[in-house]
Amino acid sequence: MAVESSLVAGEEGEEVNDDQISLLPDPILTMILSLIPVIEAARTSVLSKKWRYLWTSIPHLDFFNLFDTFFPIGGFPTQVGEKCISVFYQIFARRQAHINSCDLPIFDDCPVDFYNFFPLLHKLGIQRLLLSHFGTDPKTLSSLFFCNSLEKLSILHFTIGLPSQFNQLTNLQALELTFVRITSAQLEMLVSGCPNLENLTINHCLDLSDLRIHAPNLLLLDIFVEEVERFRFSLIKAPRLKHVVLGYQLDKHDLYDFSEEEDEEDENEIDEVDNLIKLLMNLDHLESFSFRCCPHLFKFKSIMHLPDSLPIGCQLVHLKKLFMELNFDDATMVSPLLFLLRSCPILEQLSLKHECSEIGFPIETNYREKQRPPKCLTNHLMTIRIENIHLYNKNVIEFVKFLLINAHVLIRMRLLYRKSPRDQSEEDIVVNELLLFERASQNALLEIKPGGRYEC
Amino acid sequence: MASTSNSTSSKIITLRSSDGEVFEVEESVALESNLIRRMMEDDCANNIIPLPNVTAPIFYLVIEHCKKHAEMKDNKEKKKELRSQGEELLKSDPHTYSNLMEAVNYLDIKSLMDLTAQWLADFLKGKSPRLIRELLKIKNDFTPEEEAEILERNRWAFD
Repeated sequence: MAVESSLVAGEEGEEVNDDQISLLPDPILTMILSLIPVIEAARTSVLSKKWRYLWTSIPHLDFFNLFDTFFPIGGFPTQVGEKCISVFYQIFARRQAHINSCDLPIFDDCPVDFYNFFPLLHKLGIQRLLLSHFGTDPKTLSSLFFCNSLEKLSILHFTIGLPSQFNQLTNLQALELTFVRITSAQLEMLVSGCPNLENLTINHCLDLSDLRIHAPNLLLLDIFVEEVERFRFSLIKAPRLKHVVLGYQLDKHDLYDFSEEEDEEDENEIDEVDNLIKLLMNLDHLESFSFRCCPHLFKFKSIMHLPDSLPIGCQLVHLKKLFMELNFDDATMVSPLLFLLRSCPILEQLSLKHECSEIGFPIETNYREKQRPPKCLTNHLMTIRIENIHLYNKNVIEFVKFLLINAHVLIRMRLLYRKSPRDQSEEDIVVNELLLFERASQNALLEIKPGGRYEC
Repeated sequence: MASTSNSTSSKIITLRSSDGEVFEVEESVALESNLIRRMMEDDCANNIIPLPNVTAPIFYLVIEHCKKHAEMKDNKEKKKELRSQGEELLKSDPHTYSNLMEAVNYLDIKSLMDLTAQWLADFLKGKSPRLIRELLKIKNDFTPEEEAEILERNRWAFD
């Protein structure tokens, strides 16, 4: 967008003005000042009368960039926090121009008086705010939630305690919570209080075990959870929701004990599958779905309880794009993929990324013949992309063949493989075999290209 | 006459600078400018598009940088090189810089706006106010008392 330009004709005055830079329009100069550390911008106040107050209307205040160097993440000398806070007050207390956006680091030793500070930001019409806490003792945010001017809010490493009089953040469109402590009830209340929320990102949020979301205008939901076995989706009421990104990370040690305590876990396994199915049945209006699980989606052998597909009437009948990260060598991940494919009758684009991990349940042989081909393969799936694979991986090749013989309207399949240090002729053999392999769609373009590095 | 046409069969747009010079520019380059894009969308650009706020020498510079910018899209080295060119221009010819900046702003070319803004930001970074004044020929119009007061009020920045 162009900044309003006030072109100055240089010929009017008798004396020639050499200083053309100062004649640039104020909005351009303040935009430029927001690209340098705040401390340096403040120093320009002494240049001349024209520059005296320019820096006080910088639209974007980045306090990560307050001093000449970026803050190191981790330890700080105590004085830094104290100096920061005195600077915040000096800047904000005298500020009259609106603030578009502000990135604010908060330290353990910053005696920030949030009770007065957030109302001040609100008065200055703040639209985008990023608050990041550094230290060991996350503070509780409360008065922030009266800043009704906010359009985008990102919070890192804080505890959220909604004020009892919390009403609404009517302008909020994007909310991003990372390493935030918030209870399920509070999150539900917060989201319900943001009627215009379109993007919601929840990453590594502690204490959150039960997700209930009620958001009439939500378009994108991005969730990353660590402790999958404690996590439940109870309700997602979001009629406009189009894209969901779901990421799981399982505790590392869980990977190594799946032979033990099977009986005890059995019930949880069923719950886990039920949860996923319930969640998906709630999302039948979705158009795109990304599933990221690193490294495992389900714990133990939950796979045994996964049905063939979602029941008719509850399928993902609008889903056009599916992305999934999975390990093709692990039955507990290939099976959910087939389950999803059979539950998305009009899927058009499929994108898969192979992530190798050491442990997984072995794939049964000949599943290519045993599997019921998903319906979307017959008349909707047009593009397939599979990346990060090795051509000598039999399970991957089997899956590719399964898709080729069943995808009747396929236009293009792209395989991006990692060149292996092994004999290259082996790879050539596989490439030739695939190129000659029977395809249900005669005109489908099959591209097999190297991409990526050697190591696994 | 300046011609930037090339062997490809893309459409050519004709533009006229404020001092009457006529330029022929490939449509893909011309459309980098949101101003020109809007004029074409509004259909008030069937013949020669006049650019009353841009002189020919500055327009040359704009086109040159548009092309450079297109070339370096995926090239980090070139990006760095282009970014570092601002220092020289601002030191040797701040006048041309501000004309270029105004033209880019008027033509509303996002990519060049980012680049030229970054040039001045990089130039200001790490320089004392005294040096900035000297290089950009900014006249200090404060009385010594006024200057002392500013330093005092913003002590955190000058310590």
